[in-house]
Amino acid sequence: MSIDNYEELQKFIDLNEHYRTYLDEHNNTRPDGRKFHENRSIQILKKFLQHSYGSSMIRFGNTTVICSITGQLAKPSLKSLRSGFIQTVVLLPRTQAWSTYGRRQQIINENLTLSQHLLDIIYKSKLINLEDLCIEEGKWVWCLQIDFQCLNNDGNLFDSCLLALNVALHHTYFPTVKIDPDTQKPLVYTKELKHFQYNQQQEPLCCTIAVYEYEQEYKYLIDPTLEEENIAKCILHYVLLKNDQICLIHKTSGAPFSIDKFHQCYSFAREYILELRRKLNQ
Amino acid sequence: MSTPMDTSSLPIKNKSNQLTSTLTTDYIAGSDLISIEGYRQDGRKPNELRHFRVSFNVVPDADGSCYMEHGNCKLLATIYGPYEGESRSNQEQAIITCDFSMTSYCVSERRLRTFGDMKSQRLQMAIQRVFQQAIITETYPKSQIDIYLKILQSDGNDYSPCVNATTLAFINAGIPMKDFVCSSTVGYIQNKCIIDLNQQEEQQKSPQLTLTIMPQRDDIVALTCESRVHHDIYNEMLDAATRANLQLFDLMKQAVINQLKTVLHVL
Repeated sequence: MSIDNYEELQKFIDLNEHYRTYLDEHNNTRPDGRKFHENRSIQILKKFLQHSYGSSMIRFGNTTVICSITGQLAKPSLKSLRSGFIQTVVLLPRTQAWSTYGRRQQIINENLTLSQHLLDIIYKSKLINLEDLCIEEGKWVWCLQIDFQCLNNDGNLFDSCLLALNVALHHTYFPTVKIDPDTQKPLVYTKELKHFQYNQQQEPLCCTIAVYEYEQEYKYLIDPTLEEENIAKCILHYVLLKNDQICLIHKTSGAPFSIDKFHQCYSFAREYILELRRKLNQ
Repeated sequence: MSTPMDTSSLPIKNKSNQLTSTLTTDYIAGSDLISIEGYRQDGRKPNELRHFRVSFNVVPDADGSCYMEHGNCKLLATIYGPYEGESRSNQEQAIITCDFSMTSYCVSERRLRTFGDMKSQRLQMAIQRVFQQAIITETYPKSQIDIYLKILQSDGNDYSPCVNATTLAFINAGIPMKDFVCSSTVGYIQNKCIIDLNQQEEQQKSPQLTLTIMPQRDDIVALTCESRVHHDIYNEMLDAATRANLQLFDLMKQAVINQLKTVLHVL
C-alpha cells in the first residue's frame, strides 16, 4: 500500500474521517468520483481457460474474479437417481486469506459464506436443473465444479461472482458421454462439444448496498469498494431474477434498520438491476 | 488485459478471446515430435520460443505485479514489500518469502491439493533461493519481501515461467536487482536441441535441462539436469539454453520498455 499523497495518508490513518471530510465538501459523490448509485466500470472476458468447460473473468473496477466450470463423472446417490451434483467454491487470493489491512492478522471466512450463498441461488432460482446433469439414470451423472478465484478483492465480491457465473454458464460446452454397451463404462468424447442446457431465462443478478451513516442520516452506496465495506454500518445484498422476482435478500451485521428504509433500499436495488440488465444485453 | 482505473459508469466492455488457442493436445510418440521439415508439433522451429505476452500492474493492491502468458501457461506473480519484518528478522538483509499456489482447474485433471504439497514447496524453495541471489538485499535490512505466484493454466513446466514472471514483477515493484533473471528449458530429441518445451515434449523420456541465468552478467543462477547425457550433448544443450535465455531476455526487456513508454506517455 503506497502512501504517496496527503489523501492516501489520511485514508490510512482514519478512513471514517476521510469519508466524512469528503462528504462535507462534496454532496452526492464518493471519494473515487462516483455518484452514490453508480457502479464501477465492468470488463468481461469469456472463454479464456484451456482445460475448463466454461470460464469467464470479470472486473468490477479493481475487483477481479475468475469463474471456471468443470465437470467430473460420478455415480448418483440412491435418493435421487437422476440428479447430478453441483459444488461451488470461492477462493480469496492467498494474500487476503488473512486480513492484511494494517497488517493485522485475522482469518476471513467470507469465502465460505459466499460459496454457500451462490449454491443457494443456483438451487432456489432453478438456474441449473439437477436432472439436466444426468447422463444415464442410476449409473452416471455429472458433478459440476464451479470454482471462483478472486485475484484481487476491492469490495463487492458477491456481484462479481454472480455475474461471472452467468457469463461462464452462457458459454459452457460439455463433451458428449456415451455408455459403452459391452463394458458399461462411460466414454467421453472430448472433441464433440455441445452447449450446456440451463435455465437461461432466470439470470440472477445482484445489487450490493453499503449503508453509511453521515450526520444522522443514511447514505446508500451501491457497489462498494473494500474501503467502503469496511466503514459501512451494514451491507445489504439483493438478488433479483429476470422476471423481477426476488431470489435472495441478505442483510449482514451493523445497526438495526427501519422498515421504510428497507423498502427504499429495495427500490434502489430494483432500478439498479434493471439498468444493469439493459447494459448487459446490449 | 490492460488495466484502466476509471470509475465512472461506462458501458460494459466485452472482450473477444484474443489469447492462446484452447485445443487439447494428445500424447504422441517421440519419433514424431519433429517432422521431416524440421517443425515441432505446435508449428515451432527447434530454436523458437513460445508466444510470449506480459501485462503489468494487474493487481493494484500489490507493490508490483505481472500477468504472463508463455504459450499455454498463464500465471500471475505479485510482490508485496519490502515491509517491516518480524522481530527475529535478519538485521542486515531483506528476507524473501515465496508462496506458490495453483488453481484446481489449471490442468485437465482437477487438482484437489492446490498449495502446500511437495511440488509447490519445492518450487517455493527454488524461487526463494534464486531471488535471494538476484535482489540487492543489503538495501533493505530488517525487512521482508513476499512473492505470491498463482498458476491459472499450466502447460508442463511451471518453474521457468514463474521465474520470468517474478523478475518482471520485481521490476514493476521497483525493487533493485543485480540483473534480470531468465529461465528456460531445453531438450534433446532426434539429435536436435529443442528449446522451451511444452507439456507434450516434456513427457518424453529424452534428456532435459533447465537453466536459469542472469543474461547481462553471464552468470548461471540455477541449473537442473536430471537425465543421463554424454558431456558433448550436455555442452550442446547448455549452449542452446543460453541462446534461448538471451532471446527471452530481449523479449522481457522490450516488454519493460513498452510499459515505461506507456506510463510516461512517450510515443
